[in-house]
This record gives sequence, C-alpha cells and structure tokens, in this order.
Amino acid sequence: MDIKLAIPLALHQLSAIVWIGGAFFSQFVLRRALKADLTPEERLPLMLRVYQAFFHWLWAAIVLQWVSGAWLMLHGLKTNGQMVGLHVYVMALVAAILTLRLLFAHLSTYQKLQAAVARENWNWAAAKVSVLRRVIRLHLILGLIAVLAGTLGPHLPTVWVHPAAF
Amino acid sequence: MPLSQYAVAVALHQIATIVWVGGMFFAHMALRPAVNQLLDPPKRLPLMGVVLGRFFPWVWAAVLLLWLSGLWIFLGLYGGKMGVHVHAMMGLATVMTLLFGFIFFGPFRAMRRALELEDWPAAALGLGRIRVIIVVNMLLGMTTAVIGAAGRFLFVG
Repeated sequence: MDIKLAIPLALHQLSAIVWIGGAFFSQFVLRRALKADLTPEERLPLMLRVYQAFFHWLWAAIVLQWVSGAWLMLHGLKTNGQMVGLHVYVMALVAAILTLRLLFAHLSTYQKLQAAVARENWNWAAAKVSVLRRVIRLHLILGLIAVLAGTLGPHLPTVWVHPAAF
Repeated sequence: MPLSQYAVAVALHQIATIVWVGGMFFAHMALRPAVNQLLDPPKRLPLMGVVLGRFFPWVWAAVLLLWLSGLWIFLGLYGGKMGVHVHAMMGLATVMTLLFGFIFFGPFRAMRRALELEDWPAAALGLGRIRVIIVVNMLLGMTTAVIGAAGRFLFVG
C-alpha cells in the first residue's frame, strides 16, 4: 500500500482519459457526424458550444496532468538518485507544447469563433472551427505519443537523465 | 516474463481505455449539454443517432482490444496468477461489456427503428436509456482505469 504513488497515478490516469479520449471523440466521431447532418447555421454555434464545454474539462485535465505529473516526477527523482527516465521528459515536453498551443487557441481562435458566430459570419466561423480542429488533432497525436512514453517507458530499458542535463 | 511483450500489451490496453472511457466522457459532458441547449428533438435525435452509430464501432474495437491485451498479460505472461486488482479489473470489465452489449442490441436498436419512423418520443426514450447506462459505464470505466493505474499500490496481494 503506497498512497503517495496511488493518488497521483489515479489523477494522471483520469485526466489523460478526459484529455486524449475527448480529442479522439471530437476528431473521429463528432466531426463527420456534424458535417453530414447539419447546415452551417446549425453546426457552427453547436461547435462553439461543444468547444466551450470541452475546453473547461480540458483545462481541468491539463492542470491535473501537470500537478500529478510533477508529483510523480519528484517522487521518482527522490527514489532514483536525482534521476528519472527519458520517457518522463518526453511527457513533460508534450505537455508543455500542448498547454501553450491550447492557451493560444483559447485566447485567440476561440474568441474569434465566438465573435464570428455572434455576427452570424459563417465563413469566418467555419475557418476558425477548422483551426481548432487542427489544434485538437495535434493534441490527439502528441497525446498518443505521451501515452506510449508513459506506458512503454517504465517497462523498457530506461535511459536515466538528470534534470540538470537540460 | 518478457518485458517488451508486457509493455506493448499495456500500451494497447491504455489506448483502448482512452478511446472508450474518454469517448463516453466527451459524449456525456461536452456534446450532450450542447445539443440539448441548441437543437430541437427532430434535429437532435437523428444527430445523436449518427454520432452513436459512429462511436459504437470504436467501442466494440476497444472492448475487443481490452480483453485481448488484458488476457494476454493475465494468462499469456503471468499464467493466471496476478493480484486482487487484476481480478477486480476483469470483474468490472465483464459488467461493462455486458452493459455495452445491452445498449447496442437493446435501446440503440430501438432508437434507430424509432428514428426511421420519425417517432421522436420513442427515439428520445431510447436515447434516455442509453444515456443512463453510459453514465454507469463511464463511472465503472473510470474506476477500472484507476485500479489499472494505481491498483498495485492500493491492494495487498
């Protein structure tokens, strides 16, 4: 029984599911269903509303990923002579890239989508939705790389790296 | 135990978990409030029919991949001798698989038939049943995923 590891692992697992599973559903299930069935006047306000809800959960998931990830990394550093495996740095790098990309998308693209929908400028709104779709695709691809790093990394021969190496 | 086989099986197990449980989360927590707020039943119900029709084949693939990768580890690599947390995962997985099978062959079929007849109250009834079971499966899935990630540090034996 080691609750100090169990809690951050549980949080890391749940937030990864919300983050990457949501990106997957948005790309592979929702997008095509909406394109086939709805007119732009119906589809674009709906996408705005979906992104609004998803981004709230996504930010909660990202904060949880950072907190639980840092917790696990510090635990690893303490128990392994100030070293953690290279796969941990891969996850941290992915998280840094995706956090910054989502921050920019939320502050810029999402606000423009909101303005475009408010003015019923559907061409502009469609352009912004396709930018957000590409952002979510990046989250899906890099997120899966982080999942592979997290699952394969601990079971493969580990390359130990001291944080000072960076 | 061959370490690399274990690693590959765990990676596949994790990806399938993300697709199934994360998909249910998005459908329930992001998509449902949006369509309920913005679309009327004659638009909303066919749309949800199409969305679920696209999601469920991925769920079947995830279910298959989870059982195959899980049994590969449990039987193939560990010879059926693993801790309590692995048995807990298999028990929860059995319930989740049965519930999903029930959704697919029960209320989802009924909903599709009702949509063809444009019988919106019957379609809404089917969708309501699907939603309740998806919430149950989402919670069971999150529990199973937490046991998978942290179980070996929670249970003794």
